[in-house]
Amino acid sequence: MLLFEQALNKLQSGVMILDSELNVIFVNHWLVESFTQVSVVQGSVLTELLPELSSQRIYTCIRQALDRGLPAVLSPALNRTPLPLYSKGKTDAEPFAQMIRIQPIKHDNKSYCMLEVQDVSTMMHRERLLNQQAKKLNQMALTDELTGVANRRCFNSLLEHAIAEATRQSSALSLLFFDIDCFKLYNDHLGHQAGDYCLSKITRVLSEHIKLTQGIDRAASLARYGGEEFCIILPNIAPDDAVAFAESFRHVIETIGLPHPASPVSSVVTASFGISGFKAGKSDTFTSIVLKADNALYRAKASGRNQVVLANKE
Amino acid sequence: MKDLSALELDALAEIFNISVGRSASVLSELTGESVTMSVPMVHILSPERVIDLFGMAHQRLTCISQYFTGSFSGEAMLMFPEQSSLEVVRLMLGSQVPLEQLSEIEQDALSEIGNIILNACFAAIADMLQDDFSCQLPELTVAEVYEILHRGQNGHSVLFIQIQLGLEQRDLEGYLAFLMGSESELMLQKALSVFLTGVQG
Repeated sequence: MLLFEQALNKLQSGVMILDSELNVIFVNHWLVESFTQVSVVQGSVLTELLPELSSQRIYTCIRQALDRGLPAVLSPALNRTPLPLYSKGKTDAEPFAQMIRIQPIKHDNKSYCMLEVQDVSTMMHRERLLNQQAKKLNQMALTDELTGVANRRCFNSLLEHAIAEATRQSSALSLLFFDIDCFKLYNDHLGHQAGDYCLSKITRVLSEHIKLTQGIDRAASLARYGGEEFCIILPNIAPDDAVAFAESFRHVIETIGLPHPASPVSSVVTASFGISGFKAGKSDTFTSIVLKADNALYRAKASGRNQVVLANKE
Repeated sequence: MKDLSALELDALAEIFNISVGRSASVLSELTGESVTMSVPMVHILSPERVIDLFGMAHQRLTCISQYFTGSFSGEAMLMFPEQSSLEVVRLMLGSQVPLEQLSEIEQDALSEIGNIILNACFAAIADMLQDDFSCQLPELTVAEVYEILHRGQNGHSVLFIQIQLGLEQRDLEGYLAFLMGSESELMLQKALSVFLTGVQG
């Protein structure tokens, strides 16, 4: 046996050389072992052993290498298991994930091609874990811990996305800001635990209400802006029409009936709302509609709380 | 490369059109997604002009390149702006990976996508030249456009082709580029004029 041949047989990945009739000129030990269900040896014809290959991409790639001298890569994401290769000692029903490179070789004026095969199942597994972790971290980075709704960071990207969408489709968009009335008094009076409960109860009920209300886009979202201030993005709804929705949200919060003994407004927890909107083509920007909604909210509070105020039109 | 006539540029566009059309159908079959590619626009430009014209200064590109040698030698590459390359591969794989960079698996998949498109171009050029050349495996790099386009010989122009990749209602712009030595440029031009005479005659 030639030294090269011995070395290739020690290799922990697969090597196979085919001639233009698809005769196996050489196949290394690793690959022979991995073909657990067929015996691929020197001198066999690949397509006779594995007739199913002839309708598959790997066959096209082999022919392209032999006939045109073009190399090919078969990546595991796009071709999970081009060859029926199984891990040694594992009687799994699934072949292992493979990375295959096919390269043309000219020798003595004849065309050959070399297949180089790697078992990449470990890499596939590792990346799946990494993706799961990244998804989990992403979720954590975008969710408000107390209430489970979108946090401010998430709100920023949601609003940016909604503005881009409204601009592209020239559709309407409303932004609601709301604030629990006299929340500091509530906390001072009943303690922070009660305050936490109040916030999570309100967001839970309101999320459900938004989901079930007819006429509200499924992309509508509730987010905690900070402290006791929240916002709701309503795509495809003009500010004038958003007033009625905001009124219903205000009503829902009031109807929960959480007692607020220190409130000068009502005997229960209430909220004040400010509404602004985005019109494509106008000078509205992310900052300007947030500012306008916040101003409207301020006016709602200044004129007695527990009410909805629409931002001034310019 | 001296300027090509409008007719020669049209012929090149036609050749690349067939190539990208073929690769689009291979990619559709492979990914199970509908992949379309628009009629390519062919330019011959200096690297500086490419960067200028396409507003790519300081833009990072994901580049899949293959070296080819023979009567016609150089480096062929498929490039996407880094951000689009993430979209291309994720739309094709139908995955929603939250990572901001290409993962190893995605890099391999992108190499294969590039390999399919570049091979189709090689095959078409070989047919036109009536000659085969040998190619190397694709390599994937992420770098600034300036760095990528200056890997060829200095002062040479680039055969630069714009393609639009249509994937799930998204249109993503990609570029094909061929960096060649002067002999290969001459070969290509000669072959083009022979090809055109053949077509016209």
